[in-house]
Amino acid sequence: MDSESLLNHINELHKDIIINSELITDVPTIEVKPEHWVEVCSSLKKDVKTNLHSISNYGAVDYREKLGGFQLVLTIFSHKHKHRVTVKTLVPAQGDEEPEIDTVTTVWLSADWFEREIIELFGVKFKGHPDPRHLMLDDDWDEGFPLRRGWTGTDFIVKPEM
Amino acid sequence: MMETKGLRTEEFMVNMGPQHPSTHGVCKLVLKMDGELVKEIQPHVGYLHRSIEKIAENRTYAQIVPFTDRIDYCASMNSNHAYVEAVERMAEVEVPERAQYLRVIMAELNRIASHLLWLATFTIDLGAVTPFLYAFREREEIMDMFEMTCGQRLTYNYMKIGGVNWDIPKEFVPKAKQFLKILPGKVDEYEDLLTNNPILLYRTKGIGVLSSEKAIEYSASGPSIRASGVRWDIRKAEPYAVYDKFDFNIPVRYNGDVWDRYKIRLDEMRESAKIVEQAIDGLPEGDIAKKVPMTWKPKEGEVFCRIEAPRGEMAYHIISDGTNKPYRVKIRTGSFCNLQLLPAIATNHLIADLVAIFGSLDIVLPEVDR
Repeated sequence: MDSESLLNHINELHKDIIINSELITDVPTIEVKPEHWVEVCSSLKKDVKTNLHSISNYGAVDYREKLGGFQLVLTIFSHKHKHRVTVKTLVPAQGDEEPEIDTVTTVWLSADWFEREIIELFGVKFKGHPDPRHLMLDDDWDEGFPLRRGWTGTDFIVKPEM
Repeated sequence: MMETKGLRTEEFMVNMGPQHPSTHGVCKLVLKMDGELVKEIQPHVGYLHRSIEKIAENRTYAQIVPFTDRIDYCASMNSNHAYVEAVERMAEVEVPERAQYLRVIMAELNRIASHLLWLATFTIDLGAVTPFLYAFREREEIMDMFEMTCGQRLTYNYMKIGGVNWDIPKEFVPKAKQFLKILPGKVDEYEDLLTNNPILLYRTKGIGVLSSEKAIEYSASGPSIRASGVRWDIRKAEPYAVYDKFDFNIPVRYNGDVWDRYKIRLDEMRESAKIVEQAIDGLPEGDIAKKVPMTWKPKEGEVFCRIEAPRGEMAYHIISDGTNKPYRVKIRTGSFCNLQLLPAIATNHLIADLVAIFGSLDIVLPEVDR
């Protein structure tokens, strides 16, 4: 299945749920509301035509100023069909808020570490995560969430404009 | 709890690392032991966390390239390649063909060097010192070639957006040809020493079996997944650069144990040598880089681009907001996912086997922590 027909198939599958869909550098990309996050993910894994069993990449983007929240970007991949799909969702948050969303570790085991990284670096909590300890940072780290825009820590100095 | 004729052993905790010779970098494994048996493994990473993703948000696109060298210092060329490929794909920069060929030559030579380094450290973990010296002898030749091209032996900063920084000197081609002529013989030599060596077989056969289902579930990639019977190589599946022009095989093995992961890397060295040979023969004349201004601003957009690095899938998710610095850079590396599956395959093994399993996954810690 080529990218376009794959995108059409996914659109067909979740007609009322998908709020935005496009092809980004030939990768079908869909956006869903946070309440449908786990539902869409698990159906993309189970559906025989998509069969997205592996995680290729899973990260967050701080869009608090532009869109009013943190965007989760999950690129998943099928070894069987050799295709990949990106799923996005926006977790609403303002200021220092620490928003919460359901975990997808129930769908993919390998989401575990990716989510732990998002928890500590962005301050997005995952409901039902089996092990939400810090992964990269110290256990007693209390200097906020380093990957948020505008974060400045003790050793981190923003480079002046060139 | 193991009970043997009145003798009782108690479970206890062991910290393996952060400074441990067989963790190749700083990684702590907290082990719950029952005698010699590992009951539970908890990897602790982050000792080398430099937050290159955060640094990248404060640097221009060109300034990020040297940082990518430090993500996987054993295969800097491949790290460079992943980044420049992603930026070029996002901004639709066309790269001269000679630069594409040079990139493939360097990336594949670096893959051989990286696998040689792996072979050296893996065998020394198992107690065999001789192959260590053999592998470093050949790796040295590759380091010489890199040094004559870009003046560096470890972090090359060779590729740039739009091409490569330096052309190869005229001594490069004869030296590379000479090296490629001897390499298959040298790999045979390692195989003579190791492949059917009873000690190696005893330490590796049937140890740390990673089934193909588990490999897919844990998003493994690179040689680790190909040793588990999954034919998956991004160079073939989603060809980037000029990989579609070369004729090479993807070695696949089906048992998923430590021995298979060992054998597959030796086979990959031979295949990489084939690619370099074809690339050198077909190396076109012309420019080595397209001119990209220092204050270059790509248009708004995003890209997700992945390549096959020696340790698996290396991917960059870059978002541009139209300024000269990226809005967000997310780096996905092979070791990150491959280390995550260690507890799944190494529990209920002896602690000595854990060393072999850890070695066979070829984890490079700066790549996990970024």
